[in-house]
Formats: sequence, structure tokens, C-alpha cells
Amino acid sequence: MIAVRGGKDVLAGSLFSLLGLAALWFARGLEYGTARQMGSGFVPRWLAVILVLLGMAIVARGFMVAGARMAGLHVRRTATILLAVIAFGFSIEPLGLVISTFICTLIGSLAGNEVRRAEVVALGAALAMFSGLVFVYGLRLPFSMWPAF
Amino acid sequence: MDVLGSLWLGLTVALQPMSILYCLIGVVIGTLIGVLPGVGPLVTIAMLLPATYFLTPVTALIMLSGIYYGAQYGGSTTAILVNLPGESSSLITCLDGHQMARAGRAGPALAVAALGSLFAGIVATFVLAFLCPVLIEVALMFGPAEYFMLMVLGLVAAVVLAQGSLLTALAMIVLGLLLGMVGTDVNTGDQRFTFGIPELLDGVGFIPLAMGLFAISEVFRSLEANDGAVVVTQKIRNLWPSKQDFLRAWPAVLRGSALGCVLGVLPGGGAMLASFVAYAAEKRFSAEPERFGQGAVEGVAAPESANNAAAQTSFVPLLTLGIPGNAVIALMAGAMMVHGIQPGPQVIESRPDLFWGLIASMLVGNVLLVIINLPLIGIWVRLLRVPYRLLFPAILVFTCIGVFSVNNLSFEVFLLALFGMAGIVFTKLDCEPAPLLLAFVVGPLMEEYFRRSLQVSRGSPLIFIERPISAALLVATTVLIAIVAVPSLGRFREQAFKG
Repeated sequence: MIAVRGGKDVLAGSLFSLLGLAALWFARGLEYGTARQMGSGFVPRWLAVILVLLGMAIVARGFMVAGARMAGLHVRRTATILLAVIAFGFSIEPLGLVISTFICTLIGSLAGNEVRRAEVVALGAALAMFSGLVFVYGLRLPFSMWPAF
Repeated sequence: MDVLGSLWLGLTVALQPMSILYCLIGVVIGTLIGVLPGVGPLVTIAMLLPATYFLTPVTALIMLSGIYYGAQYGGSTTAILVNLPGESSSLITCLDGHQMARAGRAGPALAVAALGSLFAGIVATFVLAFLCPVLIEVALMFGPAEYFMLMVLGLVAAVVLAQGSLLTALAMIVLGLLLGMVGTDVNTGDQRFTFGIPELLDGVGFIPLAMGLFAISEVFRSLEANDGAVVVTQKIRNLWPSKQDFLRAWPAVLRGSALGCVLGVLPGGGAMLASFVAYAAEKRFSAEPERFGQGAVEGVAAPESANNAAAQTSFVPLLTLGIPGNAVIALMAGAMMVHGIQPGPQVIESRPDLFWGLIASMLVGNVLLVIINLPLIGIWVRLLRVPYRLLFPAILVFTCIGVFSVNNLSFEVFLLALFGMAGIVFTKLDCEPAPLLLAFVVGPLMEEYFRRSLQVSRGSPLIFIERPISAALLVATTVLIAIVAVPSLGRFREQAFKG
């Protein structure tokens, strides 16, 4: 069994190599051209190759050099934060600024370490009002405040 | 070039009521976020960038730069009073600053930090004023090969001077370069990496990328560190430093300012590096090094002067060559481009009001900052009592709103989530996101210069060696890489960071 000494490195290196390979795949339709007359695929392909090589080197280092192991992933916290952003993305156009802000605050607060319900609702309302005032009335940004219906 | 005359021109721009107003807004916001731990100038500037659309380019840049160097002032307050760095560049100020506060000398510590920062800020402004025109003359001799090599050098320097593994940072740079290629290729019209998504035809948005990588992951990081309870302190009496303080601090301020000015100019350099080096140097050359860590006033004066000087001189590469040296300046470059100004050596000719107005506004800003920071300390202290659990949802919300406001595209909010996830993953894997952002900004330009260089040389890569300036830059790049790659020197670099 090969000892994995640097867990983070192995993961990071694999990620880079995968991204490099993905880039090579997606660039496959692009013209390579020559050095003198570079096609649009010339530089991306070279960069992708370099990325794959760097990734492999990092993985190798992960096996050889004692490094850090990755700490826990905290899926719940990550997912909550991202969900808050995604919820905003889905709701801003149909539901307007005030409601989206409120939803985003509510979901986002759940990622915190202590969650007090009344406080979260109050914060959500406060931020929603504040954003409406500052961004739509104050800065005149072209958002709709309220839902379209 | 008549520098003083140009500075005068700059002052007439900077002293207009709107300029002063936005300078004031910028430095107040800067101080505010500097005081609050967990919120930094990078995140704030990224959030406010879209809001600057409605300002003129001059006032926008004045405000945004005010946030940056203002944050350096604010960070020292938290460091001294609460032993927490409000800003990464104030980390080292915690050491002696908080000790002084515990000895009941918070007032003098704060005053020394503020006055040292003022001095450094003024010195740095003059350095900017005199150095930039000279560098621009040099830059005008640059052809595409030189620009390309300079950008390579800049990226490598960013890696060398950054913390963490060289290989990982290089990989982040390559990734950033690749991200910069998404979109329509200017030369051929081909679509690269767009997956048929129309919103990607113009490339990945800079704002969703920057904010996902920095703001979202910063929220995550702060929650992980459980920045909940912040302990605040005693009343601040007696603001004025003693005569002995002055005598000791004065040379430290001079040395700190000088170091800061030099280190700020280097790509990848910045306020944090400058403050660390200034503290280390001060301790090394002191007659009584054992006083450091116990409340030595030089331990506050030197890093605080250095970080302000560096924050301002980090504008040099942007204003002379159009190349950002760190992530905040990359945002400034973004701001300029958003207002239709291509950063580079031609800015001083085409928009002297912008160039000199920005530099002169730093004088105005520093004066305003001292006025704000000393008497209004009590207010800032009270702000430190806001619990993080109320603050971070606000950051999330403002980030989302900011990103959406750029192009009114929900797609970009989804990109924000994607890059937010990427930022969190990178944080967990010890990959620094700053090199990625830098590479993203300079990448398209680099490709263009590379392409042109090879066209000029008819396909021969030797052009980079044949032209003297380019060859010199290539040598410098190799030397930098060697410094990191060679193990014994690498250990020296690590020592410098453990400080």
C-alpha cells in the first residue's frame, strides 16, 4: 500500500490534472495553427498540458513529502452558503430585490455557528429594507424591488 | 517632466468638492472595514465596484483607493485594542500594540500608528509622483516581447513572494490563464470554452470570479475560525505619546516608510509583506531587541508606516505599465477598464487629470484619515461589538447584489456560487487564489503579446532572448524561480514568513 503522506497535495494535484484534461477535451475543436500564425487553440492547449503536468507533479509530491491532510469538508456549511447564493440567483428576477434579499439572509444565516430564529428574521427584514433603499432608491440600480405580478 | 506642476494639477482635481466627498467616503469605509476583522479591502472594493459606474472615473478611483489605504489605518485599531488583526497587514502590530494597550498606553499606540501612517502616506505619494513618470519613459521602449516577459516576471514574482507551495501557485496561475481564455478569441472569432452559453461569449465575469474566490470563501473561513466573540477593552485616555515615544518611534517610521515604498512596488508585494519585513528589520537593528513583543513603540511605528507606504506604492506597476501587482490593484485595473480606460503607460498622457488627480487624492485622503482616526476612535471601538453572526449574512447578501448589479444577469450570480465553491475548495486544499486572479487579469493580454511577438519574429521563440530588455527580464524571472526551487534558499524564504 503506497503511503499517502500529503493528502491535500494528492487531492489538489488530481483536481488540477483533471481540469487540465477537461480543458484539453473542450479545446479539441479549436484550430492549432503554427507558431507563426497561431490558431485559437495554440495557447489553451499548451496551458492545459502544463496544468496536467503540474497536477501530476503535485500528486507525486503528495506521495513523497509529508504534508497536511485535508481537514473535514464541512459539507453542511458550504452547501448552505452556496444555496443562499443560488437561491438569490433564482429569485432576483422573478421575485424582486426585497424578497430575494430576505431569502438569501435566511438561508445564509443557517451557515452560522449560533442561529437564533427571531434575530435571523429581523436581520433578514432589516437587510431587505436597507438594500431596497440604498440600491434601488439611492443608487438607482435597475432592479425590480417587488415581484413582477 | 515637471512633477510639482503636475502634482498641482492633480491637487486641483483632488480638491474639487466631489473628489473630496468621495475621498472621504472611501477612507471612512476603508477605516470601517479595516477595523472589522473578517472584512477586508478586497471584498469591499469588489462589492462597491459596480456602484461606481455612476461616478466619473476619477472619483471612482479616488474612492476605491481610499478604501484600500484607509483599511491599513483601521486595521491597527483592532490590532492594538483587541489583539486581533483587523487587516492581515496589521497582524504584526498586535504583538507590541496590544502590549502597549495592556499597559494602559493604548492612546499613544494608536497615535503613533496613525501619525506614522500619515507620514508614510505622504512620502509614498511623492514617491509615486516622482517614480511613475520615470518608469513610464522606460515602458515606452517596450515592445510586445518585453511586455510579455514583464507579465511573466510579474506572475512569477507574485508566486515567489506569496506563501505556500511554488508548484501549487504555478498551477493556480495556469488555471487563471485558462479561465481568461473563456470567451470569444479576438483574433479568430472562435468561441473558446463557452459551452454554447451566450453569457460566456464575452468571457467569465471578473466580478463573479473575484467575489466568489475571495468574499464567499472569506465568509466560509471566518465561520470556520469561529470569529464569534470579540473581547473589547478599556477606556482610552491620554492620546498623546510621550517624548520618549516620539524619539524612539521617529526613526522607525522613517525606516518603515522606506521599506514599505520599496516592497509595495514589487509585484506580489503589498501591505502585509511590508509590515512583516519592517518589524523584522526594526527588531534586528535595534539596540534593545528584547523590548520587542513587550510593548516597544517601534514595533507599532515601523509596520504601520510600512503597510501604508506599500499600499500606496503598489499602484506604481498599474499606473506605469498597466500591470496589477496584487489582487486589490487587479480590482483597480478592473475598475479602470469598466470606465473605459485601458491601464498602461499611455494613461499619463491621455488622462493626466486622472493620473495626477489620483496621486494627489492620496495626500488628501491621508490627512482626512488622521482626522477621522484619532478623535473618532470611540466610535470605531463600539463597532467592534457587532457579532459576526449578524455581519456575515450581510456580506453574503451584498455580494450577491453587487454581482447581479454588474450586468443584471442571474447567470453571473450562479457563476458566483460556482467560484464560491471553488474558493472554498481551494482554501481547504491550501491553494492561494490571488495568483489565479492576477493571471486571469493579465492572461488575455499576455496571449496577445505572445502572439504578436511571434508574429514579429516569424515564429521564432528566440525573440525573447534577442531583445536586450526582454532577455534581462527573462534572466530575472529565472533567478526568482531559482530562489524558490533551490532547497536551501527555499528554507530561507520560509524563515522569512515564520518571522
